[in-house]
Amino acid sequence: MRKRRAANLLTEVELEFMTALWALGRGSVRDILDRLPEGRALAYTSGATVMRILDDKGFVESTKEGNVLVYEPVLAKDEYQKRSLENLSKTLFDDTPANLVVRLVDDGGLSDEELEEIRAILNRRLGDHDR
Amino acid sequence: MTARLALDLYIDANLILILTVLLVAVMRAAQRLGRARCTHRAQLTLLQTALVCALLSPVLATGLGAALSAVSPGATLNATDLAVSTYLRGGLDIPATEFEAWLDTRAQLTEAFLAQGSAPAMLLAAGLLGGAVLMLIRLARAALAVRRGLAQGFLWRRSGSVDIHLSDHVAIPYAVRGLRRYHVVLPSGVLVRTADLRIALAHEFQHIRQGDTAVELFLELLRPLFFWNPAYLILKRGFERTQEMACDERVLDRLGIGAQEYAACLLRFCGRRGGATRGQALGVALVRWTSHGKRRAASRELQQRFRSLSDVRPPGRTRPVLRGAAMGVFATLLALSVAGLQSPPDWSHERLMLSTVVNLERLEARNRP
Repeated sequence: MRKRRAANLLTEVELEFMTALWALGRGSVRDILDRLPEGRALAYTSGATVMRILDDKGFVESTKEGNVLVYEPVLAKDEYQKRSLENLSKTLFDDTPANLVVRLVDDGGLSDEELEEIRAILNRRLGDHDR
Repeated sequence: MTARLALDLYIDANLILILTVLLVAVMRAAQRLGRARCTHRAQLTLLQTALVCALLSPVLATGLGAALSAVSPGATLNATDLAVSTYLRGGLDIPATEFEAWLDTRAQLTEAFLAQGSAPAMLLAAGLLGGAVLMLIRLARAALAVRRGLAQGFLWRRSGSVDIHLSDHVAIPYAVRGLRRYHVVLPSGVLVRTADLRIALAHEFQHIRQGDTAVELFLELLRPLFFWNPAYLILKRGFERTQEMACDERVLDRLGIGAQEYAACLLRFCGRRGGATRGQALGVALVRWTSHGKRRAASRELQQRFRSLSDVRPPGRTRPVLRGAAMGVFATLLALSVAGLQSPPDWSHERLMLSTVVNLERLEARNRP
């Protein structure tokens, strides 16, 4: 069995491919390339290499169906989101998630509806803890 | 091997380096004076020939000396013997004792250094040794960084004796020579930028083709010995600059792309932040660009490359016969200079006569009332 190398985070290109695969659920290199934004004009071999690297890093696993390799994500999208946020909090916000939330809320980029939604989530979580 | 012989060889090697750099400068000045517009490729060939001639110069000098003895027995190329001969013919008007002391300067300095008697000699020895150890540590760290970089990367393709790796940890492509194979390391993101990938691969393969990775590794291995010698630094810098320009010249011709497109690609790589650069110390990168320190020097080098790109001449316009003749002249001049510098194997007839004159001068001084 091929030795897998540990990698925590995805590169920009890998994230693009993983996003396509998460949306598909499972698919071949051709399926993934078809889901990339238009005008991406990527060679099949380049796409196949990116998927091989993702397989090597343990983010996906492949099964051979006929002559085609079909890929499936090993890591769910929300799991990766969590990992990515943890890393961001650790590297940019002094390992204090509260700072990250403060920056997000203070930024002014959130609409009233989105803020209400966050308040509801917090109330729900705090309610869970009070019980 | 005695300490004296080792020190003599070390001094000779440093002198050969200085002579090589001086001769390269003379050849380049002659090119400019003769208005010979050479391609960067031709200039790189001159540097490579200079390096090979420098390595072979002791053999070439011995061969030249033997040939001269065969043609004209008793004739010499040695500078000491020639100076003594000139002195005995009355060409130099100084006392014989002073002249002999001047001839023995190198031997006396070597003796003083080996005896470790004086504080400056000890300081010099400590500086040389300390610097060499520092450079060796730097070399070992660079070698480890290359090894780690290759282990972290993803082996993408194998083409002949070249392995192409993709790595998340580098921002700028580079090529390096291993013990058995060549390695080209590309940032993994370049995979989806087809035009940049094509240029980066063509550039690094051209470096391998023109022998730059081997030269770079060889010169880096020499650094612990010659780190203090300005001639070494000039030669190294000359190679780095000429290799890049010769490579640019060839890649533009090979890919048939415009200088503007090529320069834009180099700038895109410079704009990408991060990535380890230590491993590049043993190889040749697409652009020498660091994310910290030395940015100004890298920027100057890039500007020079851009200026050179706008004046690229198609390769193959230099005449091979002319180039061969220039190389022959270079090899002969270097061999002559090295033959002149070498210590005479034995005392010549003239040297014995000088010694007699010195003894007579001393006797006269003693008997003077």
